Amino acid sequence: MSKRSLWRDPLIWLSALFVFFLVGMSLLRPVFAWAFPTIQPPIYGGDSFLMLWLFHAGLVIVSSLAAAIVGVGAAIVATRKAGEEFRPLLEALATIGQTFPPAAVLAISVPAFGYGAVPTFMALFLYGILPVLKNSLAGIAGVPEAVRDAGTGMGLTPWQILRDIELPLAAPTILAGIRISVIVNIGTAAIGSTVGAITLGTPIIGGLVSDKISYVIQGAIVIGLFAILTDMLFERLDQRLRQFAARA
Amino acid sequence: MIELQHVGKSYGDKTIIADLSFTVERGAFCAVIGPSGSGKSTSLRLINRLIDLTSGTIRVGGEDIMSLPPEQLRRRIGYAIQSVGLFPHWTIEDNIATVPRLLKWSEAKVKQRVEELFALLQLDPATTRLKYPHQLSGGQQQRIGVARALAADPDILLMDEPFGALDPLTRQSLRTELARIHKATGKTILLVTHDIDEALELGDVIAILRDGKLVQFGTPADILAKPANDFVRDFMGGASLGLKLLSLGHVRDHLRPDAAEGIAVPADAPLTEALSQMVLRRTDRLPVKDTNGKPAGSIFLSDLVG
Repeated sequence: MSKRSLWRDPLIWLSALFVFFLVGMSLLRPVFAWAFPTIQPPIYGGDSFLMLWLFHAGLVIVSSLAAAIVGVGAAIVATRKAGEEFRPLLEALATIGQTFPPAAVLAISVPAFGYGAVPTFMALFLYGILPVLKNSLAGIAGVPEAVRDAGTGMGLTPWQILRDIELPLAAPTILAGIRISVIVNIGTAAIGSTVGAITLGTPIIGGLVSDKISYVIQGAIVIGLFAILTDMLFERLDQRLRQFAARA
Repeated sequence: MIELQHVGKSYGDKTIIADLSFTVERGAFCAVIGPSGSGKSTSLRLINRLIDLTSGTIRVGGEDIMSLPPEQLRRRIGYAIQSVGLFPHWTIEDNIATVPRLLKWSEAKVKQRVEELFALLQLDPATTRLKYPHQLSGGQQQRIGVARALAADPDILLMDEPFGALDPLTRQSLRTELARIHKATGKTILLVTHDIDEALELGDVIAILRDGKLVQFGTPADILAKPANDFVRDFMGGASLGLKLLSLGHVRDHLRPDAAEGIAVPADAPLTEALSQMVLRRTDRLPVKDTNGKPAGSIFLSDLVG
């Protein structure tokens, strides 16, 4: 990429904007004071937005990572000969599971895990498994039978078939599942503040409760940018991956 | 050498292969033909243990196939299939190098072998080496599939309708090429096909299967001249059996020194081509040219049946 086009890259601009909102929200005090003269102070005054974002991102990263490992792992097991019988069950589970709204999953996890970050983590983790599982199953099943047959016929071991053939060919589909999981989790983590987790949703919930609409706007801007940026990064990763894989 | 002794395969009480025995000598080209569901593909897949035997024994190069781990056995046997199954995310070079790398050859040796194979299959390494399978035509992909099967220089090559999905022209050119490769390398080849002409052209011996049983095993000339039963006669061509038999002979073996008028037929053409030309030109004799295009004599209609 040349220098010129680098500056035209929306990812760079959005990242800069995002960092500005994270660390420089207080610079916007006059703007919010002018727009919402009745709200004092006009800028959310709890934890800094940087701090909130770190908590929020940490929660999303850990839960999505765990969900990705479990989701891909379960799909691998279900597509082996030994795990064949679990496959219809897992497929049904993944499909039915996704019809639950994430907020409902959060509500269910409170009585089970109490208040704070733990029920939020559990909700994000459990809900995050579903798209990964579903896409991994589809991705591995989508590997042409002829390719698998030729591989086996040439003497690749089952492990080599999985590592060198199935996973690379399924990678773009699996990544798409992880992408959905992460983006949904970024949004759901915000609702985690209703059950006591510290996230970028905290100013939103606080603002709604105390009728301070500027806090809601500030939180929403940061979460929105965070989600858009993450999605763009996945888009880049997907393009990279497609250059190397999935030439079928 | 490939030996099948009383080989059987069944799923539950459904028998796919029943008591199949035949031997393909070292360096021979055996074509396995039969109608759909005759068990010809199954018999092939039993040899490299993609399917497990129910009964009987199979020996490859004198060794019982059950005495080796399946992966090790398969790396010693070339395998090419109709759907090719090239790895779409690997370059042509890497696809060809699959088995040599599984066998942990040195990278220098792998490179050298890939080059040899490009030469053997008359492919241009400069334009193909770093391409991906989807960038090649069906015929080229199939050629790479054959190269990949030959990569680790196996003594035995198993081919399951390798040219089945190609257009007639490409198919014919690959057939000719396979015959040339067989001659050049001396591999023992077992080819499954449902195309009788392909079997007749390529096979030193032909195994005819029906309902999982061997109906006849012999040279193409034997089978055409003495079909074991009505099924073989009909399957091999029925009324055109004589023409099939004629196609096995070559003009060069029926030459006369006499001269004849008209456009010459090549000496290495099959006799059917000579007959076809005679019918077209309404004549009972044709001039013959050798491979250099020089006059080599003539062929008479009466020689075709002699």
